[in-house]
Amino acid sequence: MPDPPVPAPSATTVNPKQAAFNALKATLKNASDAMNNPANTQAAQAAARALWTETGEQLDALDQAQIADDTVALQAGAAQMTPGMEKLKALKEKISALGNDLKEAASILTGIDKAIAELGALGPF
Amino acid sequence: MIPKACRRHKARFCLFGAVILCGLGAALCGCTLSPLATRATAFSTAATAAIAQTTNAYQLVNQSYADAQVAMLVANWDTTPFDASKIKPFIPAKDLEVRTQVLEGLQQYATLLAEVSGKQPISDLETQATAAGNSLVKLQQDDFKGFKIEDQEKNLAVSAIAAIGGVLMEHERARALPGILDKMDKPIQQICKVLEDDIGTPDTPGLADALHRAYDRQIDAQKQFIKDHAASMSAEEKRTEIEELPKLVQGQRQADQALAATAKSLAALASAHAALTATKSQKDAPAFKLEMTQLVQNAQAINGFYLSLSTKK
Repeated sequence: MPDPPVPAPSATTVNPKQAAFNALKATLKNASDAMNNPANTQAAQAAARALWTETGEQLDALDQAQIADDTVALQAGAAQMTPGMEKLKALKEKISALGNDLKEAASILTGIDKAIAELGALGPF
Repeated sequence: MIPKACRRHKARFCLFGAVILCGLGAALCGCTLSPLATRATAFSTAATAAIAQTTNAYQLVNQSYADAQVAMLVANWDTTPFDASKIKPFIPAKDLEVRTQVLEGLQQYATLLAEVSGKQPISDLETQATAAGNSLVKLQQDDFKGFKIEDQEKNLAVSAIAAIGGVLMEHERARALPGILDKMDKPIQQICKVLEDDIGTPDTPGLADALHRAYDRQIDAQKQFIKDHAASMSAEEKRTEIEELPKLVQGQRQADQALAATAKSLAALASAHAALTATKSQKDAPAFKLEMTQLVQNAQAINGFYLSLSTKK
């Protein structure tokens, strides 16, 4: 029998930060090209470096904002795990309890031993 | 008239025979792991590797960011005053703590799945049953000298008890595990997707971009250092500093690959869990096996990346 279809991942939503990110990356690349171009004057290279550093800091801030958003989403996901985890822990305890019950096996077997003695006293089967 | 000792002997064999038959019957009914339990155990093992590597990814980003800060501090020492407040980890402590807790939660889930699905509960049970059998032997020797049980009989009884216990455990698993997998699938999908997006790529906001640019800064700082101090360096010193540049470029490529593989591994983890859930009532599950192969391959690939990076440190 074939496997049932595996659910497809949810549709990818557009990240609202992506447009600003793309613009900053373009500025960063231009600044990098300008500061590494030996044909540019020292002043032009220094200005490009300042822009490169500033744009990098803005991108850092955008990455940090993404991390903060992800933190909130992760907390929500973790909260949703709780009911399933509780059920899994309960299952583990139930299975452990089955094993623990068998710790009483010695007394059960001892009971058999006594039963045999008593049955033996009753006469032929 | 049957002698009393003979009757007792016969009764003993009847009862032990019944116990052993029950056990053998139980064993034939399937005290071995069910296909779902086997798959859940396999998922748990692979998930553990993927989770460990995601933890490594966060450490890698923070370490590379710290290295970039040091490189920039050295490169700009003559022009920029030292500002202690700027020395901080890229991922703030509270955000890192949440990620650590979520990864620990995933790890706990994988561990619990393995514990309830694996052979350990049955092994524990066998140990306990053996101990019980030994107690019985000791008990007879001390108090029931007239009632001898051979080791072979004791072992058979122990096996029977373990087999019955195994069936009871499998019954509990078969009853509860599918529902638990259903309940856990949605949060697992959500968490893996967020973690995957959190890592991202160098072309999206997130850790991969931050890591890539941390290397860019280190490379730029190194170039700046060489440019500013080349005149005062010996040829050997200059060679050493220049040799650092291709190492940084290689490190950047490897770090990019490591994070890309980590993101891929998280996607594979989500797919494997979805396949585990979707095939919970299937005896054979080729789709699950395919997802598992992908997950294991990704986890192995990432492990190689992080090992190579850690040995270079």
